[in-house]
Amino acid sequence: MLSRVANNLFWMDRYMERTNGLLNQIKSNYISNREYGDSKSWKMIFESYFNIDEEYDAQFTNSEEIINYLIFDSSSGNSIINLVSSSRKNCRSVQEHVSKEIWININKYYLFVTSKIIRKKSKYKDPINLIEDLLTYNLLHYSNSDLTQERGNPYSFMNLGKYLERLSISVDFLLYRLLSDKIESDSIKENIFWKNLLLSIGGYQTYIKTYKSSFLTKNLVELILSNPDFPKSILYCLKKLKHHINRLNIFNGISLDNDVFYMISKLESNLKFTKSNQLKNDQLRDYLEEIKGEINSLSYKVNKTYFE
Amino acid sequence: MVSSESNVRDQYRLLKKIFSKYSKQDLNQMQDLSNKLFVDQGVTFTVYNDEKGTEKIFPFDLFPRIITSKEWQKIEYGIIQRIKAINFFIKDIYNEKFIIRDGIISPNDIFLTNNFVKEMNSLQVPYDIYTHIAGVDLIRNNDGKFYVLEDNLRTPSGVSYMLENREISKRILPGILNANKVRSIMDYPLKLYNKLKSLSQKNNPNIVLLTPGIFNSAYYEHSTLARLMGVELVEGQDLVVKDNFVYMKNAGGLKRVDIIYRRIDDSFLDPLVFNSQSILGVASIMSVYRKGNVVLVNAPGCGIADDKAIYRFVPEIIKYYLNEDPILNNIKTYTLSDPEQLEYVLNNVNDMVFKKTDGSGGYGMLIGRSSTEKEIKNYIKAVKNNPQNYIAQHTLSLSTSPCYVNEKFAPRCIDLRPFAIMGSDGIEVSPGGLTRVALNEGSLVVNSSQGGGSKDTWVLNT
Repeated sequence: MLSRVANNLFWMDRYMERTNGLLNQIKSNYISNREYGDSKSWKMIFESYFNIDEEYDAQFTNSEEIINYLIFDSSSGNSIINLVSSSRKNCRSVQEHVSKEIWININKYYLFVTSKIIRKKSKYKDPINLIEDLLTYNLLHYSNSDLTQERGNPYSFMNLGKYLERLSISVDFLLYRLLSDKIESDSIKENIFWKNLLLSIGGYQTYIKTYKSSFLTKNLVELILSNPDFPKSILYCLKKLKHHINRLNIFNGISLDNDVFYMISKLESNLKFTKSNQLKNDQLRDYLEEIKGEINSLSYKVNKTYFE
Repeated sequence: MVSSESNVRDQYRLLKKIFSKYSKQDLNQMQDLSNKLFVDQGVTFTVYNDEKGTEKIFPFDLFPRIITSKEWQKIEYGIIQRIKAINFFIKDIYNEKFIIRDGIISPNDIFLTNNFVKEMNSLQVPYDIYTHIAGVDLIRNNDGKFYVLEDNLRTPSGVSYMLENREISKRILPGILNANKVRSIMDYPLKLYNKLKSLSQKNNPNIVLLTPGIFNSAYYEHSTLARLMGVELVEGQDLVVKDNFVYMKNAGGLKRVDIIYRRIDDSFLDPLVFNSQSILGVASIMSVYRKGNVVLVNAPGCGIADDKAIYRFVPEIIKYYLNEDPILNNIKTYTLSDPEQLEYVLNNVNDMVFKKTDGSGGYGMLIGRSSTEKEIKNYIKAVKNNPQNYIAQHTLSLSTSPCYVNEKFAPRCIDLRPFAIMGSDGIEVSPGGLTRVALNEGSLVVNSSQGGGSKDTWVLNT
């Protein structure tokens, strides 16, 4: 497979994953805001997705305006409209490598989000309706990838993009949301707030089934860091990455114990043998920063190994 | 669709009966569905001269065009004859040049055109095939006969629309194709793949389709053909020449390429030989080609045969190489560098169509009867300055077909572009082709870039 094509497939899925992550965060923030007036919750999105850490809220008078900006502002790199356009652009250039269902869905997603009438529809005065309609395309993308995409090089490059992006999102989620300065580690009293937070990463059901208790930061950290069965957990993503790296190396005649494989295995061992629930808040932050740095190095190595 | 006695042609009777049952609402719904299918699938072309790179759909007309088996047989034989002769002509022009020595065509007619590629001189191509893929534009005049408008031998577009139009017809007219006994065209990609494969001695050659990239107006077609043939779609940046072979840059390293179906023009193919500014091609690819280590489809230099100045010689080319009378007619063409012919043409401007010899896509032409005095005056001035760069032909009365435009059926001018493919085992023509429609009332221009649309083309089995 061509390096350029591999790179485009990687980014097609990476942008789709980012879109999914961002939309779920927006949805959860909006609900939290309506229930708690938690206006600071937008901070995490601006910091992790838009690299904006100064006073952003002066520009906006309410959550609806923020959502409008996050979804439709084409001058902001990671707005939904830009992410979907980028994913579609990558997909368009590799159409012959993805199933027709994948292409048609991403193309329809692009047509939907760029359509002028979308903002005039009365049903979208409630942003949740709009976000849920947008998320349907992401869910269709997951199912199309699973059910219609042949399991060769393209599938593994798509998964490489997806899980690498998900890793970043999960680490950012822990860093910017769970360990933000405003929240003391065990001052968790508002169940609905945490429920929304867990829903935003699709982890509510797993949390309840696993811990069957009130919300504790250490449990949430453990869930997102090292639960082997939670699809958004860092350990789960690393296992998937390892699997696809292995396949790609076999498909492309690359040494099986190359740098990428080594880095993932190292990260995996690090997670397995670190007792996160014994780390204090600051130690946990340092630990997560370290993981974040290693994920960045991994991205760089993936690029060098497969796309150059 | 209608014969001179205003009777519905036999082949349309069944279709007319079916369409007469549809209400205006049904037809509008069918049209909406067809537009939606094109948009959702991204069956679009990119509009040039538009900074945003707008993608547009090629308008599709619901009502198919029908060609009888007898009509098709003549078209098919005519195209095969024409392509066979043209291929001999190209081989001759780049090798012995017998046709010039025998005085059929003058050296100036060949060497003064922009489309003669001197780098092809004495270059041996596999199986002596130059014109692997051709899209011959035909029109039917008011005498009922088919005429060749032009032979597109470089990178003819439109075959993906031929395939998509059929897919749409299947959706909006379910079961009707079978009832009409329409010949299938869906094996075109497989046939094309087999023709390309036949050009190599290898059992499983690595075939790629070379595209200028996502911003090219025909990108959708490139991507569709690559997908349907199961070959890699590459850009110039994906290929590299090493040790006199062409390789593609794969994730696992370099992989040798054997056959390149290129959809970029000759001038962009190799910056070391042609346009040095080109970033679409591959440096040194012509050197590999010359050594016979890669096959280029179509061969560079084919443009010499579809130059509008050479067009008028095609009947003589057929006679010269095949000793046969042309099956398909040429349109009488005036050479404007000849003072007598120029005078005749200038005295009859309103009956004439003027074309630039190296023009295409409906650009650079003037239709006398539908142009303003000022337009004619400016055009004639340009013709007089460089008469060798122009030809003129009588304006033909193109046949029309009913089209569903603005919620009613109305006649619109049509042409036909069947696609012929040539491999080491001969030439095949896909039954049908792309019927293009001049959707603007009274217009003769069918090009997608100039308000044209298309309709499905049915060739009947019996």
